[in-house]
Amino acid sequence: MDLRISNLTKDFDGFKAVNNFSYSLDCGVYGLLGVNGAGKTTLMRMLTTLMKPTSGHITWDGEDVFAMDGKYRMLLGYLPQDFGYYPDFSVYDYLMYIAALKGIRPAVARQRVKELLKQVGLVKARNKKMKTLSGGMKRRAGIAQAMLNDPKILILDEPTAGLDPSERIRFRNLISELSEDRIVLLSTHIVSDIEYIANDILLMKDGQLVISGTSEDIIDSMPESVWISRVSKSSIDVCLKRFKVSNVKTVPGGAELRIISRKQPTENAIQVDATLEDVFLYYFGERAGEDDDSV
Amino acid sequence: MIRYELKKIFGSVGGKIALGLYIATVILSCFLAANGFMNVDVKWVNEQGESERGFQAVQKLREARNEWEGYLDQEMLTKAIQENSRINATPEGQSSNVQKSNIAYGWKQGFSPIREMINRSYSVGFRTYDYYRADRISVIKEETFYGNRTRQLKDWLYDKTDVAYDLYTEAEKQYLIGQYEKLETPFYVDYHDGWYQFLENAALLPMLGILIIGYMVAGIFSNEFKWKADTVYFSTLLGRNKATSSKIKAGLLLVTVLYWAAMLIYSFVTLGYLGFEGGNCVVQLRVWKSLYNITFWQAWVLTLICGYIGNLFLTALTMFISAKTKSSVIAVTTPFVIMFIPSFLQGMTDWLDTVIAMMPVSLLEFYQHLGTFNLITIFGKVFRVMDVSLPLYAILTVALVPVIYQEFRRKQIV
Ligand SMILES: Nc1ncnc2c1ncn2[C@@H]1O[C@H](COP(=O)(O)OP(=O)(O)OP(=O)(O)O)[C@@H](O)[C@H]1O
Ligand SMILES: [Mg+2]
Repeated sequence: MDLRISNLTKDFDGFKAVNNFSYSLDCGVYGLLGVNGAGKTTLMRMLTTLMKPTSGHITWDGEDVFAMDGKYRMLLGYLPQDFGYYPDFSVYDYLMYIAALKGIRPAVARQRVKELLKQVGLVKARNKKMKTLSGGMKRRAGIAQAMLNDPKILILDEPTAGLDPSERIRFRNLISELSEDRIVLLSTHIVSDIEYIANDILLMKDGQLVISGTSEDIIDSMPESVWISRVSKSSIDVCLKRFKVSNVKTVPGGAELRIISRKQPTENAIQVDATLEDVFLYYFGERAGEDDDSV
Repeated sequence: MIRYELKKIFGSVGGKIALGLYIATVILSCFLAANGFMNVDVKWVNEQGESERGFQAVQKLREARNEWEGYLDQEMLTKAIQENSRINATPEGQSSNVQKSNIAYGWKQGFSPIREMINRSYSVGFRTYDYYRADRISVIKEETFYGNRTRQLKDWLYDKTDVAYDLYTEAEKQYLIGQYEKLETPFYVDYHDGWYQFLENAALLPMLGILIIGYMVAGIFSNEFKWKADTVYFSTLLGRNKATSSKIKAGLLLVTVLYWAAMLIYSFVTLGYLGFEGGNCVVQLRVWKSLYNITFWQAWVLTLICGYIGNLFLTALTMFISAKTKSSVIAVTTPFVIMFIPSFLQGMTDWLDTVIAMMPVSLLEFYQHLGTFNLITIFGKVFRVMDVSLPLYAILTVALVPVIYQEFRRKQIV
């Protein structure tokens, strides 16, 4: 099981949405972390053969995936960011149809759909039309669809976007459950989505792979330190301008700032352990979004 | 997978409405066929000079026509002229009162198609029609009656003052004359109003039908993009091959089932109501000038086949546009544009008329082409337009299938 991305580039009229991206994946959960427009979706569309790269290669066990054609797509499960479906199909029909598209025989498909409906908690909604489902239910139907063929490569593009916090946790657990014995590549711009479930994290910026490794590796890679500093109300603005601030907590008489800096930023600042959120801020220059607008 | 494609179409409210509309069109056509509409109207004018409609009227007309069943030979022509003169001589025949002359008309109903053919045969020129011509004939000869048809054609084709002189090449003129001479005489005359009514109105249903079918298939490809289902669809094992061919099959199956169901129901309701007899009579009983030496039932078969090929082609074209443009809106307008462009261009120049006659819409109105002289010369051989367009569109449809397939399966998601 070896999915290898080498020097992958996608050029949209001179704009490189994915720029010379190389990485190798085998069994495990990979978190692809990047801000809006980083190129996550573009990368995933190439990995799912929906889009041909401008240059570079994707190989599966050494074979070019575009040349493998159906043999490669057989291994794929894909939940797109902008997950579309057939509005008038019932959940059951929808899954049976996708099973047919995946070349699964009807008898096997019926069994598989039944299992997955149970696993994603849609048994009661099986006869509801897709268009009548809530956002979270749709997403669950989406993951069920991706899992139908028990894919070796599961690609999930922002699977938690638009979900409320409890749905998001549920979804995270579901993905953990499903991640055995396969490659799971999960994109997000929310650190907490992948902090605990991803074995490896890939930070993507402007189409390029900035850094990758385990959560600890990445935290250790940050050359600056994290400080907590208590400041008065009047100096909050000055500090926000001067330093990279990853968090602001209001306390009586002022605020407690989480500052990323090479040197001690203020006299009373105490050095603390960095988190992935801090690293995200360090690399992307903006806070990891908890709120999102992409769905 | 075809089943799911159909489910995508008919699962939506729009699809259900379209299907309902299609069924309503068939029912309406059947209803109108039985009650008379547009060009033809089977009715009976009774002894009071009033028009009767309905099943009783059909029976009366049929009885009257049955008295004139047989070969249209010297004997029957003479009988028709004598009967016509006799009726004209009655007070009703002489009267200028509308009701009275209607009564006289009623007496002529048994042989009115014969009377009409006499009008045509003895008209002064090829392109003139004189409704009262038969009234001025006292002696008729079978040989002249049939001979006039070819003679008038020749006069017209070789009249230097007429447009026809330059319109047709010599080979085409010979072809036209040859077709006329090949027609066997005397004609056999029988009640044939069921076929006549069916054929005259046979274009309406496939024309309305294809607009509705066009709506149904317009989204087969483009809706994948509209619904954003394309990403999952194309990332699956069969999305770019078997599932794509299933889409094409679903479209072709849909038009096939809907077309044949509609046309067969419509045929059998019309013919069942107005009568199947007369199927073996030649179409010249009604379309005197026709180049097609065929019988009514053969015309029926050709009408159905031409209509089918026309519908099939327009469906395939709509699907192609749907795959190409990713837009159902553009796709749904395809049959409209193809069908209505010809009516805008009609009559501008002669060569354009031939082009128009070659348009797929002509296939939907085969009967209307029975009486036209649209010819086309290919490698020195002369064909009637329909002889060319029927195989042409059949081939084009077959050729479109792999084009649609390749067009869709190669789509990239950007
Ligand atoms: N079809 C396209 N044509 C031109 N530019 C495109 C196209 N698709 C994407 N881009 C550009 O490529 C860049 C990367 O887009 P992409 O959707 O891959 O980002 P992303 O990381 O998935 O962002 P998000 O978190 O918002 O989903 C963006 O700047 C986008 O505008
Ligand atoms: Mg994206």
